[in-house]
Amino acid sequence: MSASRWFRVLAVLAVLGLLGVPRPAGSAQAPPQDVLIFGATSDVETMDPQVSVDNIAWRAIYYCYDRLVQLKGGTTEVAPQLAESWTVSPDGKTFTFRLRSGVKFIDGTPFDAQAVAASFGRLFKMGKGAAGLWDGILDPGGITVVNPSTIRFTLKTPFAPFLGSLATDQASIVSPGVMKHETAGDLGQAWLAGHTAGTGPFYLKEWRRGERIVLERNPNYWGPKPALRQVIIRNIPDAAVLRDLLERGEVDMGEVLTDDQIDAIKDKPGIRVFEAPSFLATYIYLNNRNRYLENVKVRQAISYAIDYQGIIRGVRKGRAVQMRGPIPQGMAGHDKTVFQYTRDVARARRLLAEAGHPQGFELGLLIDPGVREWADIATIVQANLAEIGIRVKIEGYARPTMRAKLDKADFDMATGFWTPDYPDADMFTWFWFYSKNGGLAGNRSFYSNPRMDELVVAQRQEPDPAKRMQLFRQIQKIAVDDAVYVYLYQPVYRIAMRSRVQGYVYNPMLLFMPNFSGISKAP
Amino acid sequence: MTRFLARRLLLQVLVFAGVLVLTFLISHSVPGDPALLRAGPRASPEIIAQLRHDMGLDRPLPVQLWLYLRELVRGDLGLSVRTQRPVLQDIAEHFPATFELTTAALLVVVLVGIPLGVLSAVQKDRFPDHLSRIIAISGVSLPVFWLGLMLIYIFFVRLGWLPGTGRLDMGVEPPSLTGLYVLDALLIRDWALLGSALRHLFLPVLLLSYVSLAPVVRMVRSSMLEILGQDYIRTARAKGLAERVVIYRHALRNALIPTLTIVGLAYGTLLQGAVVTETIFAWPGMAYYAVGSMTYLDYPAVMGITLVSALIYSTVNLLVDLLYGVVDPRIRYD
Repeated sequence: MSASRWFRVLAVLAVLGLLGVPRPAGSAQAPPQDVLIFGATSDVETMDPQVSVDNIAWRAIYYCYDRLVQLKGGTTEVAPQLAESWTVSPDGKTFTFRLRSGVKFIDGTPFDAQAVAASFGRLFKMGKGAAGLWDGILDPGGITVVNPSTIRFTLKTPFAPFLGSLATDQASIVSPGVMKHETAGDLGQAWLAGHTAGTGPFYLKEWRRGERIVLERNPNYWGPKPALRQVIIRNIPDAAVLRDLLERGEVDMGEVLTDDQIDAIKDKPGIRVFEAPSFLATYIYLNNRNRYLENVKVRQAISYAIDYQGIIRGVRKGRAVQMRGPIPQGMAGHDKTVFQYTRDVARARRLLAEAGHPQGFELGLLIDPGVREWADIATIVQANLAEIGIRVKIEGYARPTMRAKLDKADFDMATGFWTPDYPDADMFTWFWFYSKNGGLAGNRSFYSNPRMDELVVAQRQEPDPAKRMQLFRQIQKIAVDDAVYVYLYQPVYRIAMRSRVQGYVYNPMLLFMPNFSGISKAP
Repeated sequence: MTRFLARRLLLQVLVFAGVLVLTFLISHSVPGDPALLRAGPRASPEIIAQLRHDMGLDRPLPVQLWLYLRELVRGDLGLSVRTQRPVLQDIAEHFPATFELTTAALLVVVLVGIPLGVLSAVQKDRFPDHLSRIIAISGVSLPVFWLGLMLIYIFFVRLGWLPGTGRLDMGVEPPSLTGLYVLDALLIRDWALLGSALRHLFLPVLLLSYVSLAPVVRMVRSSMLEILGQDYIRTARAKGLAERVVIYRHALRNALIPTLTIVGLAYGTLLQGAVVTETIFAWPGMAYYAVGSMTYLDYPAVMGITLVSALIYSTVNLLVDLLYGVVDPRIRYD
C-alpha cells in the first residue's frame, strides 16, 4: 500500500472516529441561577429608543425604560406604568396623566412631568423614524406640564389608538440627563446609542458590539425587583450553533431558530418550546399603478389562483393560519365572517378573461432573496400564477434597494411582512389603505379609494369603541372585495428555552421582546 | 533610502485618493436609500426628506464627495448611518479584533508555510511533498465557510474542546488596554484571560491561516527548487558544507525575496478571508462590522472601512519593500 493510500485510509478513519465521539455533557458552563443568557442571531445597531425602529434592538432596550403606560401581561390592554392614572376628554383629544412620584432615572435625575415633556421634546426635535408614529397627531406644542406630577397631552386630531401607542418602545421616557452628554447638537444621540438612561428594571451595563449585551438589574427600580441579576444577550450569528448551545444549557433562551432546528430539539430533556399565534402579517403587495393590477378583476384572479394552504404547508410546515382579511386574528376589530379567498383556478381564469387578458401577461415579483421565506413564497406564487397564464419574473434585490423600489412604486408585486407597533387595528387599516400613505409608509399597493380613505380616517377619530368596530367591519369587506393585497398568513411564533426558565409571558405585541423583568430560573 | 521612502509615501497618497474616489462613486451609485432604512417603516415622507437632508444625500454627488474629503482631512470619517456613532469610534472598537486575528494568522502562515515549502522542495516527490501539496491545494479549494462550519462542528459541537464563537468566555472580563486580548493578558499577567483569548483564537486562526497557506508554500517550494539547482549550491555542497547549512543559509536566504512578496500579498487574502471567518465565528472585528454596514448601505462606514483596509494593506506592502533590503543587501533604494 503506497503512502498516499495509507493517508487516505487514515483520513477516513479519523473523520469517522470524530463523528462517533459522544457529545460532552456540558453542564460545566451552565450560567448561574440569577443570570439569563439569551442567544440572538443578530446584533443591535443603536440603543437609543427615540431613534431605533428595529424589533431586535427593542428587545435590548425595552426593559431599560419605562413608559407612561404598559401592556397588561400577555394582552393588548393598557395598564398604568409611570402614569398612575389618567383622564380622557369627551372629544378624545386631551389626555391628562397623574404621574408616579419618587421615581429616579438610572443616572440619578428625578422623574417628573418636566422629564416627560423633555423626553417627548427630544423625540420630536430629532424627528427620526421613531417619531413617525405620532406624525400629524402630536407635537411638542401639544404637551403641557400642569404641575410636577401632572402632564397633559393635547392631540391635533382625535386618535383612538393613542393610549396603546404610549406603550411602544418609541414612547420610552428618557432622562433629561442625557443632555449632559450632548455633542455637536446631537441631543445626546451618540452617547445614548451605547448607553441607557431610563427608569426601567434593567440598565445597559456593558456592550461588546457584535459579541454580547449585558443588562444589569437596576438597584433603585421603583417596581417589583426582577429575579434576574443579569440578562446577557449573546450574539450567535449561526442558528445551528445557537441550537447546540441551547441543547447543552449554555444558553437559556434563544431566537430565531428555524422550524427544523426547533423540531430537532423540542423533545430533548431540559428543553421547552413555546408556541403561539403572532401578529406578523405575511402578504403580497399588488402595485395598483401597474396597468394590469389596477384592474380589480385581475387582483381577484390572482387572489383566487394562490394556493394558500400549499404555501402554509410548504413554507411554514403548516405552522401558520391563513389570514382572513387585513386585520389579524387576535386583534380587536378582526372580522371572523369576512370572505376568505381559497384556491379556485377555473374562477381565476374566468376573471382574467373578463378583465380582457385571456392570454395572460407578465409580472415581476420583488423579493429580498436573503429572506428565505420570501424566496420560498415566490417560487410557489410563480407556479400558481403560471396556471392562469400570468408569467411571474422573480426579481431579487438587497434590502436597501428593495425598500427604495417599494417606496417609489417601482415594482409589480412584492412580498412583505408587517408587525403592529401599537395594539390596534389602525396599524392594519389606516397604514395599509389610506391613499396618502403610498409606499413604505404602509400603503404598499398604492391603493386609492375615496370611500376607503373616509373610513380609515373615521375609525381613527371615533371615540366610541362599538362604532369603531362597525367601521373596521366595513373596511375589511372593501379590502377583501377589492383584493388590495394577497393576504397570506400569520405564522406561529416559536421560541425555545431551557425548562428551568420560568415566568415567561408571551405578548404578541412584544414580538422578540421577552419579559425579562418577570422571568426567573428554577435552581 | 529617504528618497525612496518619500516617493513611496507620495505614491501611497495617490493610491488612497484613487481608492477613495472609486469607492465613493461605486457605493453611491448602488440603487437604494439609506434614509429609508434609517427611518423605518412608519416614517412620513417629511421625516425621510429631513433625514436625507441631514445625511447630505440630497446634494449632488460631487458636492457630497467634496464635503466628505473636507471632513476627512480634519480626521473625521463621519457618522455611521446604522449605529449613529462616529465611524472612527466604531472602527476603533472593531479594529483590534481583526488585527489580532489576521496577525496571528499571518504568523502561522509564515511559520508553517516556509518550513513546509522548504521541506517540500528538499523532499521533492516524496511523502512530505505530497502531504504539503494536499494541505496547500485543499486550503485553496475548500470553501472557507464550509471548512469553518466543519471546524465548529467537530471541535465545538462534537468534541467540546474549543469555543465556537466570540473572543472570550462569558465570565471573563476584557481589560481596556489595547483591545488585543492576547497582548493585554501578557501585559497584565492575567493567565486566565490569556487562556481564554487563545482558546477562542485557535479555530478562527486555524481556518484563516489554512486557507491562506497555499501561495506561500507553493512559492517557497518553487523558488527553493530553482535555487537548489544553481551552481553555487553545487559549489557549497562540493565544499563539504553540512546539508542544513546549504539549505537554510545559502538557498533559503535567496528564496526569501519572492516569498516576501507573496507574504505581502497574502495579507490581502487574509483580510478577505477575515470576512467569512469573522461571520462564522461571531468574531466582532472590522469585517463583521463591514458586512453589517454594507447591507445597510451605510456609506460613511463603508468608506471608513475601505480606507482603513487600504491603509493596512499598503503599509504591509511598504514594509515588505523595505525588508527586501534587509534580506538581500544587494538591493538598493535609489
